[in-house]
Parts: sequence; structure tokens; C-alpha cells
Amino acid sequence: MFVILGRVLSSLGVLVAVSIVLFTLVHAIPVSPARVVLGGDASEEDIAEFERDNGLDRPVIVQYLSWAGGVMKGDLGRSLIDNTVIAVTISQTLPVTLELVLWSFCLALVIAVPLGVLSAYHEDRWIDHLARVVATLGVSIPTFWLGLMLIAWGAVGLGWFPAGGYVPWSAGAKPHLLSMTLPSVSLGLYYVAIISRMTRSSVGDVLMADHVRVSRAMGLSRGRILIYVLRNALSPVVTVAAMSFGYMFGWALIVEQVFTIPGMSRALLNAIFRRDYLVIVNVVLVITAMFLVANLIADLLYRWLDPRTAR
Amino acid sequence: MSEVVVPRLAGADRAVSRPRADWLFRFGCLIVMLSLVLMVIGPWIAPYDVGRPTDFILEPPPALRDVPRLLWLSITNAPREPVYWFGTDSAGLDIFSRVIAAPRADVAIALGANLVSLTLGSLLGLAAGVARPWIGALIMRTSDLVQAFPVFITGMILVTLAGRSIGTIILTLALLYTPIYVRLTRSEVLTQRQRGFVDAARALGRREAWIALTHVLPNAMAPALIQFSVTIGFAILMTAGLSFVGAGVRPPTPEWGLMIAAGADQIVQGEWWPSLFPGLAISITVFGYAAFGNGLERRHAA
Repeated sequence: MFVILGRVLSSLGVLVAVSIVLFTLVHAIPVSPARVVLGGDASEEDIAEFERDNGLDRPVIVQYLSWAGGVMKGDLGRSLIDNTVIAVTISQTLPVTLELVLWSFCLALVIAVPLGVLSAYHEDRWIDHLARVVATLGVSIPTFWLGLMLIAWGAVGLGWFPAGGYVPWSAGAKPHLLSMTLPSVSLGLYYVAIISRMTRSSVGDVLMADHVRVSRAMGLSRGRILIYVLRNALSPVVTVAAMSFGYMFGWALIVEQVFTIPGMSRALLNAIFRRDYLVIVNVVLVITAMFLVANLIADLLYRWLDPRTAR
Repeated sequence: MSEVVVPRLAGADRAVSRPRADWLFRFGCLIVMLSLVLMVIGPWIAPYDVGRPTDFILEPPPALRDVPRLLWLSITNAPREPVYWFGTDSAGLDIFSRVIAAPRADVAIALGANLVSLTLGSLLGLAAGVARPWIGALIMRTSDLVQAFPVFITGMILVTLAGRSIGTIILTLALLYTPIYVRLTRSEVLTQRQRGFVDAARALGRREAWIALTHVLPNAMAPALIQFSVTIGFAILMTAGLSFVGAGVRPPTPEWGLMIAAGADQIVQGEWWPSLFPGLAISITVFGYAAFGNGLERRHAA
């Protein structure tokens, strides 16, 4: 129990450290958001006034503390550029990104784990070669290009899927799922590669362990042995899967750009190009938090799967 | 683990000898060399000027069945219509020329970034392994912190805010990849510094820093050097991704990610070629670097 508490605390510590670094970083940039809001020909006085109104002339540490104090109370602040409430922006866009990531993650797991197990069981047969080709290609193909090619094939060529855009659940389950298919596939392929490779090597190692040989000698059924094998082999797979889940948020943004899905990418890209400090910091923190939570869950699963690591 | 000696199962030493893998390794070598050659001479051997539009806008590539005839014509230098092997894009630029000129941006950035992070990472990793414990802890915690940031998004932010030049992209990628090398070198340093030759050098009265740099570091570089090839592949993907979202190299530089982005609008109209070929170039190059790195790893393990 204390171990878990310690892990939660250290994750929070990482989050705070990340926020401090980010905050310092975006404030170290010479171009002020005032320039973006007021335009290129604004006078020095106008810029100074804008910075005073928005508290940008205060020392960075004071700005950080006042922002962090707001976050404690659930107030993430407002955009410097268009004065929208950042918490609202995030609560509107995060669910979309989260759904995309979840679909891709499920897709990756559903394909990768059986593929990895099969290729470990049938080493050097055609299924193993196929898995290796998928794994090597999957890490080499750029996600955004795969998305475009899927549009060219599945939307323009065959006309089965929409070429982009996001259809909400309220418009019906089928159109919604169709609109999520191509984005999920293009985001998921990379992780099919990574997770299947991990599954293969981990299952391959366990298959050579003594207890599997003994189980075979005792004449246990293949299904029963498979359960024992999976139970022992899944721990590293869970770790890799959790890290993948975290990384997916980063790459989901580029997939959203390709398919014009209204997730967090547009908010973040706009904020970056317009030097909207607070939005950048908040969005990146949300993504980092997702990554940390995924790793925490993996840690818990790990203990449950393999009580030896709990000590 | 067990006291009883059991014969190892068939395939236990599967990583060591496999002719297939060797073919992949050779393919990887070929691609790595090709990309490096194109990085140097690519823009000079391109058949058309990479910056000057031709007279044909969105000209499709020649049909597959015409390719042998056209190849023969161009080899024999016979008079013929101009050929755009990969077609032309919406600005009328020849895509083939730009695809082979792009390694000057993509491969050079990836290589530069990895050289910086290899140097920095291996020195920091060495320091983390041999210096006082608090210095080691400081270096490792800093690496943890850098790795907690989402890679692609952090890259996007840093490059945009620091100005989209090749130099800032190289430095940003170098910063993001340094922790990988720190970790690899440190763990190898921890095993190497226990070896006899270190004690021997110490017995000769050498200074600790000198021993670390000349005896420990060269012996601890292997994992980092193997990772080097694979990470160059990542860096190429990242460079192209950054320019795809508009946070990387500026147009009109010939660069694969920019070319894919420029062709993205035409995809819906059924004009697939402006995006297809640069993406294939990225995939093949990254595949080559990965295959090369995996081959090196297998050889090192054997």
C-alpha cells in the first residue's frame, strides 16, 4: 500500500517538475503574445500595457505561483489570445483525443498480443515471418503518411470511409465508428509493431522455462499451459503497453491533423503558433498526466500479475 | 536457476545464426549508405531544379507499363519528352528530384542531432557511472525528467518557439534523445569499471578521470553505438513529422515531411502521387536504419 502511495507521490512530483520546466521554457522565449494579439505594428507602450493587464510583467516565479494556485482550485486560467477558459477548451477536446487513443490502443492490443503469442509458438514458420515483417514495417512507416494513404485507399478509392472529419456519437453509432476507423488504424499500427515484438520475445522466453517443460511432461492441455505461459509472460507486455498508451497521446495529435478531428491538437497547435503560454503549459501537462497515470496503472497490474515484484 | 543440467531446446540460440536476418542487415547497410551518399550529392544529381517549377502542374507519374521503355530511352540518351518519374506537385515541382534532394535536410538533421546526443549522452553516462553518487543521481533524475515530457509535442513547442531553423531542430532532437544514450552508457560503465584492466591502470598510478576517459568509456560505447542507427531512424520520422505539422523545416526546402503535407490536400481529389513517394522514401530509409541497427546488435551479441 505504501509502495503505491509512494509511486503516486513521485508521479505528482514529476508533474510539478515538468510544469516548472515548461513554464520557464515558454517564458524564456523573446516573442511576447502581445505581439500576436496587437499585431506587428503595435507600439511599445501598447505592448507594455497588454503585458501589465495580463500580469506578464511580473517575475516568472510569481506568474507560476499564481497559476499553480489557480490549478489547485481547479482554475487553469484563460487564454491570453482570445480569453477563452482553458478548462473548457480541454474538457471539450480531451474526450475526443482520449477516444481516438482508446480505440487505437484496443486495436493494437487485439492484434498484437495474439500475433506475438502465435509467432512465439510457431517460431520460424510463416506466421512468425509475417509478424516480423509487420513489426519492422510498423515502426518505419510515418503515422501521418499512413493516414493519408488510408484516406486515398479507403475513402477516395473505395469510398467506404469518410475522408476525415469527426462524426459525433449523436449522429448514430455506425457513422461515428466509420469515422474513427482509419484514424485508429493509422495511430495503432506503430504500437501493434512494438507490442507484438515484446509479446513474442517474452512468450518465447517463458516457453523455454522449466515449468513449461514440466507441464508438458505432465500432459497438461495446451490451453492450460497457455494460461500459465501468458500469466508469466505478460508483465513486460503490460509495461510496454502502458508506455505505448502514454506515447499515443503525442502522436494522436498529428493523426488528428490528418483527419481533421477536433481533438486537442488544434488547440495546442494554435496555442504554439500564437505563443499562447498558458494553453501550451496546460495541454502538455494534461498529456504528461495521462502518461503518468498509464504507467501507474501498469505498475498496479504488474503487481497483480506477478506478486513477486510486490515484495 | 535449476541444479539439473537440461539440454537447451532447439532454437535457444536463435539470435545467432539466421541467414534471413543477414539479408536484412545487408539491405540495411545498402540503405544507410545510399542515404548518406544522397545527403551529400542528392541536390546535385537531381534531374530538375528542386526550386524551379516545371511547365506541368500535377502531372501524374508515367504508367508502370511505360517505365521500362522510358528507362531505356533515358539510358540511351535518345530524344524524348521530359519524364517526371514521380510526377509533379501542385506547384509544378518535379517530385523525384525533391525526393532525392531531401536527405540533405532529413538525414543531415537526424545524423547531426544523434552525433550531438551521442557525444553528450556518453560523457554524461560516463560521469553518472564513475563520478560521486550525488552527481550520478542528479544526471539520472534529470534524464528521467526529460523523458517524462511527451517527445513529439515537446519537440514541436521547442522548435516553434526557438525559431524554425535546422540548427534549432538539431539541438531540440539532441536534447530529447540524450537520455537514451546516458542510460545505455551508464549501465555499461557500471559493469566495465569492475574489470581487471581498470584495476591495472589504477595500479599504474593513473588519474581516475584519465582512466574513465581512455579505458572505461571506449569499452562502454558499444550499446550506445548500436542504438545510434535505430535512433537516427526515429529522428528522421520526427523531423518529417515536425515539418508536416508546420513546426519544422520551412518550405520550400526539399524535405519529405513538407512534401507529404503539400500533397495532403490533393489526396481527396484522387491525386496521390505528391504524398506517396516522399512517404515511401521515409519508410524505406527508417526501415533500413532499423534493420542495420538490429543486425549490428545481433552481431554484437553473437
